[in-house]
Amino acid sequence: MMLWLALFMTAHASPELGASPELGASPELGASPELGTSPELGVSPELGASAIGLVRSDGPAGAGARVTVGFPARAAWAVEGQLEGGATSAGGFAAARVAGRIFANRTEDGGLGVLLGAGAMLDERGLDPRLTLGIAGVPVGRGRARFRIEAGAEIGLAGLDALHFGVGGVLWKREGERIPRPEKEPEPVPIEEPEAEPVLAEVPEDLPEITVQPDGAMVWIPHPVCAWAPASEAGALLAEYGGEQPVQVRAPGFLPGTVDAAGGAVSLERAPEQGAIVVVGWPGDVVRFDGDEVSTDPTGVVVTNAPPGPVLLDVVGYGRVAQVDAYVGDGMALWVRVPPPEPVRVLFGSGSASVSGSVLGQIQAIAEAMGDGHLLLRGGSSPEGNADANARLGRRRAESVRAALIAAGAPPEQVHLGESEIADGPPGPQQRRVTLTPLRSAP
Amino acid sequence: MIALLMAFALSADVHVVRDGETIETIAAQLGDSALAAVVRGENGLAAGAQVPPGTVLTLPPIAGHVDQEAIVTAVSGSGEVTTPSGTSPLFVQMTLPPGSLACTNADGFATLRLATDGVNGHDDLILLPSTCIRIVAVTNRPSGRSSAVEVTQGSVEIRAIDGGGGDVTVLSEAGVTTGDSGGFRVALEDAGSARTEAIGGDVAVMGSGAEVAVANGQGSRTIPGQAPSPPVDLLPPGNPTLPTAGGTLRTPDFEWTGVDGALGYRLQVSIAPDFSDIVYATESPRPELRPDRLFLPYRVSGLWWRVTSFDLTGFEGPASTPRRVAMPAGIGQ
Repeated sequence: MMLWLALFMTAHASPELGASPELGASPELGASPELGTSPELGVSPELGASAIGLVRSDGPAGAGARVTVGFPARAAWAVEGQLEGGATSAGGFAAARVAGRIFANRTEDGGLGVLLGAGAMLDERGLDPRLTLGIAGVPVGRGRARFRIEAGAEIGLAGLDALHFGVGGVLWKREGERIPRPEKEPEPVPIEEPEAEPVLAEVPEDLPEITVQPDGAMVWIPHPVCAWAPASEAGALLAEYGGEQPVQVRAPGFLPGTVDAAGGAVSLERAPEQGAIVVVGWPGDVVRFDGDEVSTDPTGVVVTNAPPGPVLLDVVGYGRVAQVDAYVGDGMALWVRVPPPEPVRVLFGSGSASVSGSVLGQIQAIAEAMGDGHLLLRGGSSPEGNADANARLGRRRAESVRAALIAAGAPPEQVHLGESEIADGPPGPQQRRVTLTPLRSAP
Repeated sequence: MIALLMAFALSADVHVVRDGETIETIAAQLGDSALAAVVRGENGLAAGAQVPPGTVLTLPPIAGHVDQEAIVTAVSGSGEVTTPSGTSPLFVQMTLPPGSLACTNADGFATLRLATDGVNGHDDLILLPSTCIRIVAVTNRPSGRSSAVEVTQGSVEIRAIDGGGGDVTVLSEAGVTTGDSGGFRVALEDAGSARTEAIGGDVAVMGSGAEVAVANGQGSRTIPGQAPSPPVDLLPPGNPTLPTAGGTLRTPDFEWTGVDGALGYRLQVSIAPDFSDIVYATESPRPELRPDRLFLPYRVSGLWWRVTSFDLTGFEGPASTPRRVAMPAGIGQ
């Protein structure tokens, strides 16, 4: 047996347009005669069209089209009227029937069920009554236009007369809401407690009109709406909001603005493409952005704006040099905490207070990276021998380092001598030292 | 493709069975006692059958019930959404029909508006970082708003609603949490359990056919196959001290008072005073936070921060009163 299916989609008139006979007399969706007189109907009539294929038990096969008007009930069944016409290899045919659909598992978003119909078919053999028994998948999907499929058997007075198949679409009123627009929702159909229906805001005819440059700007509708909406579509929601506070308007690449909730026009100012960096250093740190020095405040913080993109921060102070990679984001502020300066030790030989050649390079580097930072120098020594002599040795070591730092260019007012360190623990070379400790402020 | 369409098409309004409810009382709540048979039919239940608390029933289409879609009202960082039309990045104002999957990445926050009645308000859900949820149902009913989501990963927070919220139900493999005034969190844990924290209203937690009432300021844990744990008291938040109220965020230094019994603290920064738009969150073991880097938008109307405390068992308490801070002078100029 040759089976075939033809796909056929028909453009439908929208119920809102009033082009269908059922809805044309009732421009408001919730006020159609069918709904008004059938309280059990929870949804609007569905209008459909399908391409059908037909294979008769006596051989001829053909194709045609069918138009349906369905009345889905709120529970698990629906009634529909069908008109179809077409031709087989034996001649033309036309049929009309009333059918019922009983669903095994139906929601408003579709279901699969049994179809039972009764009607009559007229073809070259004459006019005969027919029963239809089949399965139907109806309307599947969440949009306004949905799929419909079905297959079934036509039973005439002489028994099985034909098998038919159909694929098409139906026009379904219900659709998902992008944003709440109570004025467009159907009137609630009361069951038992009409007083418990949701209270929908009345929307005045004169909706606030907001004009925003640039196109594509969004308006924030405050509570209880709480939603962003395109400026061109914000009128109804602003009417629903009903407040008097100015509302926010935003557009990518533009500075935010406000506009009167009652309506008005605003032209947003283009935002400069820039971000900000807040460098959190130490007082006296010298900060350079991509090599350019910027001034810090007395607490060591610098705030600067820069075009979006990567930047290299060089931070110098207290004898340290820190490099920090950062990225400036458009409209974003980045706080960067610079690694704090750490204490540094300069080591000496046993009994010596002379700055040896091996540490001169270290001292030179510290002197060149002082910035405006302050250092406290405390000399130390290993514990063997006379304690007073060791203290004096520690002092001389600190003075030697200070002198070397100043000779290398460090400002004298930033290098401070402190008390000698008292060594503890077993003797060792790490105790023969001067410790350079960063100070946030001069002692 | 057909299977995908059907999967989304089969999403519908739902009702979570509470302790003491029967199919008949649920049908009566829906406005028509005769719907009991339809409800059983929709859920494959035999005539006369009842179901235990925590069961999620699919409801038939009911006159007056307006099915809605969730709407993304705020996004910070990144995330993805999978809807019947495909997968796309999370963005503000996108609509999420039932069946949609919404996920935030490790850097992402998102706020979804669930059911709205257009007059009194709406219910909001915040996805914290590394969180995935599926929209189960979003409905405005004559009796009030009703929303249900399933958390498959991470943590969500239902914002507290002044003046009466709608029913919001959070499902997970471990259990069900439902409340009618918002103000609760549900967090999935590594062991497969789920933690519910009531931080702004009373909620009910259900699992394995048992229901536990969790009062505001309490928490309960559900483990698959077990009844919810008895409620435990949550820790109070610390009191923010630095930056001072109304002060400037010149350095990224935050301090608050310590809380006895706290294992750690969580800090959030938002660009909205109601924390519907969170832009930063992190943890600290001490009542202070000094991040090396902090990245915040500055073309905003303000910045607010708050802290919470969590205990040794992971329960996190309510947040401190939001404290506003100002951007340092010179930014954006």
